[in-house]
Amino acid sequence: MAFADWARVEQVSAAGQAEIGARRIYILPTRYGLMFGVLLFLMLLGAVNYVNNPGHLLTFLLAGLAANAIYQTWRNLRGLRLVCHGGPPVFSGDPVPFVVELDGAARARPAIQLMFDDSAPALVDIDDGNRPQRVQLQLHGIPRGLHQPGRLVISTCYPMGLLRAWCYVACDRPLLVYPKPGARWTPRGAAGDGGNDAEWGGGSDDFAGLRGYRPGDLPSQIDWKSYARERGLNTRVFSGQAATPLWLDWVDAPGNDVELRVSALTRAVLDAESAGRHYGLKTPGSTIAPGLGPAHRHQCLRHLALYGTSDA
Amino acid sequence: MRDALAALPIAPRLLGATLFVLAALMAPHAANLHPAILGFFYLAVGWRVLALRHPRWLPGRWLLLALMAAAIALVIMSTGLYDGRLAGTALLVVMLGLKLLELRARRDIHVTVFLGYFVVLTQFLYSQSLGLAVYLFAGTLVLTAVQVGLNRVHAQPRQVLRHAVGLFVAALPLALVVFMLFPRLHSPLWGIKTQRAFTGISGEMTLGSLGELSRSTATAFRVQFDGMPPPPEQRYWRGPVLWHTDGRRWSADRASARALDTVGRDPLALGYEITLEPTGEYWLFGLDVVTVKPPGTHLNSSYTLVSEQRVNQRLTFRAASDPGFHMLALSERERALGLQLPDRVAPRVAGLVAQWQASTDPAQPLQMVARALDFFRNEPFVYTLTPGTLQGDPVEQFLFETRRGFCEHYAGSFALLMRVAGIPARVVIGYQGGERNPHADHWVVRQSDAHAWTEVWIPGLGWWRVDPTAAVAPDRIEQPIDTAASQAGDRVMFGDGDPGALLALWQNAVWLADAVDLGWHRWVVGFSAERQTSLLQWLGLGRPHGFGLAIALLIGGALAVAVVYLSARLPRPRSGDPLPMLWRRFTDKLRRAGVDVVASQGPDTLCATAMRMFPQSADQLSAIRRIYVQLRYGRQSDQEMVRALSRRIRRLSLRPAQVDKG
Repeated sequence: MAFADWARVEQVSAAGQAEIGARRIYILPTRYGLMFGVLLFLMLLGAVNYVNNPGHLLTFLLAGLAANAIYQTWRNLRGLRLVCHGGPPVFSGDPVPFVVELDGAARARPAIQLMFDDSAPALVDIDDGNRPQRVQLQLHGIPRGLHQPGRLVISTCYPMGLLRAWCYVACDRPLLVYPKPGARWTPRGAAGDGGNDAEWGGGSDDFAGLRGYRPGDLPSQIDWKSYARERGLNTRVFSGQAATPLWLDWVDAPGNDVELRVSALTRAVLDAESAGRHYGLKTPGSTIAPGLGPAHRHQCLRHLALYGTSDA
Repeated sequence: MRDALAALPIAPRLLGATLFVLAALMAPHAANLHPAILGFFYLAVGWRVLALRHPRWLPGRWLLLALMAAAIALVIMSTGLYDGRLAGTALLVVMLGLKLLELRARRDIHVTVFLGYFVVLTQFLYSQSLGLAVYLFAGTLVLTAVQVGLNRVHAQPRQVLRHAVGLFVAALPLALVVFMLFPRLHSPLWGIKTQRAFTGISGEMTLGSLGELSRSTATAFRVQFDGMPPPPEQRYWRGPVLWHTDGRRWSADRASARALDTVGRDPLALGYEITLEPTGEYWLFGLDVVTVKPPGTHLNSSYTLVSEQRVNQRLTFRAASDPGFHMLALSERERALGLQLPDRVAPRVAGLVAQWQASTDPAQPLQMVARALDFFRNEPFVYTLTPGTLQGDPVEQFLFETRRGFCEHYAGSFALLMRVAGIPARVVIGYQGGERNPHADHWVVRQSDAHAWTEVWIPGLGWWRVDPTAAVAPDRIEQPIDTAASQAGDRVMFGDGDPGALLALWQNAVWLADAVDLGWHRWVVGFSAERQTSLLQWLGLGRPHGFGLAIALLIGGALAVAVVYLSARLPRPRSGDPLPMLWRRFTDKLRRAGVDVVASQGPDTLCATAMRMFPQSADQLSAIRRIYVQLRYGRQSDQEMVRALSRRIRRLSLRPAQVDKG
């Protein structure tokens, strides 16, 4: 869209907030508006030809409605406040959620449509209550990496549907998209003492002790007995995991192209995390020290997501 | 550009509202269209209503195509395509019906709403009455509400309707300015053919025809005088002039319809404005005698005002008349016409005239007129709406036997008597009288005021009006005929009695409606190019044409828009909290009942005081106090509770304590 390149764009503040300014709003007739124009012309022709004054009045009344609709439609957007919240990281292939909070600024604003270039449109009636309304947009078809969601188009055709007012908002809230997990594979050193390939970190490891629960620990590894004795939530740690970290190495990953390896390593990170094993990540040029838990998982997945991209 | 709204399913309620309002807007066409056309439309509506519950019953594409072919055939067969307006309307109606049957997406409803607006316009092409206009504009409002509802995610009827009212109010100033300033044409762009039956005076007079008309109280026209209205004896509204007679029937002279252009501006003339109901004829009515003619008309040689077009719609025009004007001219042809007699004149009639001639001076024709009037006055003539039929020579039978007649009997026979006596005479038909609307400054002339009188040519005086009916029934000239009373009785009754109170109230309402109706007509329906010019002149804009009008339109439009938007920016009272208002209503009620309300008192103190004064209402008062305190100081505001409080305050009745006299 060439127009959008030089169009005025509302910028969000550092906190992701923006208020739609009067001079950032564009407005054009919809196809219903064009149809309505033709209708008015025909009605005027009929009224003039039959020298019919009530017909004139009706036609001018409808024309007045259409003229007023220009203002009403514009006003439906002007002063609308929004906060771009962005969304949590997701895996490539899944829809990417993007949350926008809308505040009508004490005015009811029906039929506000939000849309990114890559998203399905979301439609919402904002009532005149003072509670902000959260709208979740779903972006589709986004590859791994760090992405700006693009220009948010906020538009409305209310009240008559004859005109569409819209404005562009640059939502500066990057979205992180993890690589799509590949097929399950067994990294070197992942198998137990032998035979039990499928079982990550094998159940036969020695019990090493308990540590405090950290979010992300698997329910199966929580020591429910101690919880029942009211000693709080604890996670069982096994000696094998603690002692020998699992190295997820770029060179071990199956596949002969970058994307396949990135996908395979992503799968391995997820598997290691769910198995509760300490793992480290080696990619050409960088190494992430072994660790476990959501923060570590995020660090690894982010590294994989950005691998080979300009944001890396 | 994707549109999320288009993908949204339509609420059945919105669909139902669309069908309902379209069906309602179509109803007045029952008076205009062939029943088959309207039947087709309502069948389609019914079908669509059934399909609201059973969506699979909607017709498929092939059935729709077949229905479309049938509909077009129906239009051709029922209208014959003679009348473009009728055929166009019928086509629009059946197409709208078909569109309803394929009403699925939001887009389809948009299109039907637009077609609905057009249907309203077609209604106005057939009738422009105030009642219909109110109905149709209300329907248009609902149609707009549907359109607004279409553009929302959730459409609540009240909310949407309220918004549509707001939009209408905001659109009105601009609409009115454009309405006033938009250039009006004097004549249509292309020819319009209409054939319709109108009640009113026809171009000829047969004995009994005006009497029939006099039973109708329908309005013939309304008049607004610039100055003092003329006295009753001068309120003769001149219509066609009749020259030819065969004794029973009088008719106009087609050949003499030569335009008279000697009359111009007349300083003595009395100006007035007439709003004429459609007659389907060319002639207009004016106060006898019109000396300043409105544009687009001419005066023929008989001083009848003639329009260039048939009056098929209500017409408002300005004219001026001089009741003292003398029509002096008498051409040879007119003299011959004015003396033309039927093939046979009854000997008794000729004998009567000969008898008068013997006793009058032939050089003084007025003496002969007086003799004839004396004859009507002194012989036992009866003025009646039911004269019975006349056989044989009608004039002879009327003058000598039945002696019962209406104005046409008197005018016709008097003119004949004069012609037999050698005095040129002609019959004028029109209206006589008029009634003032007490609520507005205008007069109403009804069909029951239809009248026929004569004019005789007297050397030196010119055409001289003689009304023989006045000789028989002088009241006829002073008072309108009481139609209801006259129908039952024999003799014509005149409306000078004192009506009962209820009847007076009803008549009052009728007059008020008449005033509103004329206002609607003068300012909307009959807003012509002339009226526009005079309005612009009144506004000080002179006589703008083309460019000037466009500038005026622009400035006026901008002003109208500015008014709307500035008024929208005025601070409005917050409608958020109804509680203080309810409390004020409550304290007002207590104060009226005699409770000493002090502003600083809290609800507990106030209610305690009130309960002491009105122990009978203690329960009601304590309930109000409890709910108010809950709402005022409680955590949440509950609409249900607010309503309950409002209801209780409304129903609160404060009865003083009964004093025990035991």
